[in-house]
Amino acid sequence: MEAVRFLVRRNAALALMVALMWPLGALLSAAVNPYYLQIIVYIGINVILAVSLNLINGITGQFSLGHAGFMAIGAYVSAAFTLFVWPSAPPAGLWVALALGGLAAAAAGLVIGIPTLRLRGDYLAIATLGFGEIIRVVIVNTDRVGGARGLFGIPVLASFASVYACAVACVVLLARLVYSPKGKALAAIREDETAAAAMGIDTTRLKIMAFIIGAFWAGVAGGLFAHFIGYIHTNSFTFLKSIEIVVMVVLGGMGSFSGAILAAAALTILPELLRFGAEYRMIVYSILLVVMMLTRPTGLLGNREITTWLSSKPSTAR
Amino acid sequence: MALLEAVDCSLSFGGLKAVSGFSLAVEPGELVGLIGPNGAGKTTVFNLITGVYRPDEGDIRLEGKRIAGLRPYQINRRGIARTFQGIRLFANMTALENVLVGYDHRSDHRLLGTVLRTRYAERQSRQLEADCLALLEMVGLREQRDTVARSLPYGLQRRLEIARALATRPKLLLLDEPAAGTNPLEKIELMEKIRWLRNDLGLAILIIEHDMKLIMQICERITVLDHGETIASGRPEDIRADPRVIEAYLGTIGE
Repeated sequence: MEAVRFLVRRNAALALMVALMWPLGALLSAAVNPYYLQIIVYIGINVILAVSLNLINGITGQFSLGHAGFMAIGAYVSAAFTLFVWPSAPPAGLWVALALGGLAAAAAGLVIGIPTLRLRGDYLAIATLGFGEIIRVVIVNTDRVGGARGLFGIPVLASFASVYACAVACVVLLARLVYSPKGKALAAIREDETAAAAMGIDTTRLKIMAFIIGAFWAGVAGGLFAHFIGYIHTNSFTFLKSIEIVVMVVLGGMGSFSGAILAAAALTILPELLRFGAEYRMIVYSILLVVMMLTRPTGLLGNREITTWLSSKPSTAR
Repeated sequence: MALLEAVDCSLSFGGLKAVSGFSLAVEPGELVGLIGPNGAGKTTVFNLITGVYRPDEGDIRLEGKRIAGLRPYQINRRGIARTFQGIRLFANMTALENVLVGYDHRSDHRLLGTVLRTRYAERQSRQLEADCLALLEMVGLREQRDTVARSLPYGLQRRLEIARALATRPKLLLLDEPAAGTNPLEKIELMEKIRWLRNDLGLAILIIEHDMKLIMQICERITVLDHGETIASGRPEDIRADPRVIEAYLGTIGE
């Protein structure tokens, strides 16, 4: 009983923050125009994607390029649930759909993680990129979920409140993990895998664990996306989307939660601000990225790589 | 029964015999030295014992149970910890965090408990932190608890690496050139610390060291490797007089 009270006390603030998203959502939808509100919701979805990828790429140091694939699984599984399995679902059915989407993505993370996490560095990146594309191609060729036409008529059950409730829960829970002793073990794998194993850490198991947790939240983000837009197409989940999420993590600073959140917000707003440039906006967007990376390299590379970059500089510059 | 027994271990890389017919027994609480010229196979022996490599032939047993073929993390959990020749700390983590990682597998905190902050998980992580601080205190690093490992002076990095290995509560500690790159004064201090560790914690220690004088002073038994083969094994005074050892280190006269 005492233990339960303790648990409630420790999680009351989190529960309150999550609950506050509903009045906040009501307030925003009254005060802000729908276009802005939509961008704000996209930011929330991208925050979940960036923070969950940060666990895999930034904290554990496993360079994954397949995050959009997990997002796609979450989107399609949850949408299939609300369309075909429980079409008359009340709004609360969203949570069942999200849980299913997240679990399906996590299961895919397990299946993909076991073979690929033996690989390191570039090889892991290429293998996860490949798996992400396989997921997309399988969906394109599955007529039951719309195939190349996309999936229409998904009930619009997600809103600002549900997206930000998930985003808050995702950030807080993942931060608790990362700042716990278990999280230190994850960071140790990033720092030196051989030394971590010599300290009794089952590196393979922990890497797969990080991968599954990251995939779960990407699946949830996909489910939210599907139920916010009401229409999904595989074009939203190409490897370009994976790269976009990686850019958020890298630009924010590998391993930094606040960095990932800020970068997710900035990179969602930026293309919208550049809309006046029509076709040229992607060029401007790219140039801005290059400039940001050149002027704020810590955001790009994180501390670890910047030290090697600095120390190798004198030897190459003659 | 010996704590660690290596029986007739051999390992080749392609055509190169890195270690051949290596045998060694370490008794509980014993301080054993492993010496030999560069490239003799000393670090390879460490890698065999800790599971980085698997012996082609031979057997390695810890307390009578076979450990050859287990993965490094499993061998560590059975009670063997090590340091590395070139320091391999978790460079961007603090001294406290480095030690905390060594403690990780001994705690049974579950993921869900950690994330939901159960009382049990919180108590446990508080206990872990207290244990880590006690360990840092022991090696004289308490003040540096929040210093990032790579900003520590070299000598302290060496000590932190030993503390991190101790955090896994080993029965046998393998030290790979712990005094390399430290000044003579630090060396003596370190050797005293190592002897003290053995006496106080009742650890068995196997140590690789280049400095003959140093190792002769602290070890009860010494094994000498050359070209992957054991050329001598015994008490320091016998090793010092062994003609094959002298030859391996100094070369033959008139060569």
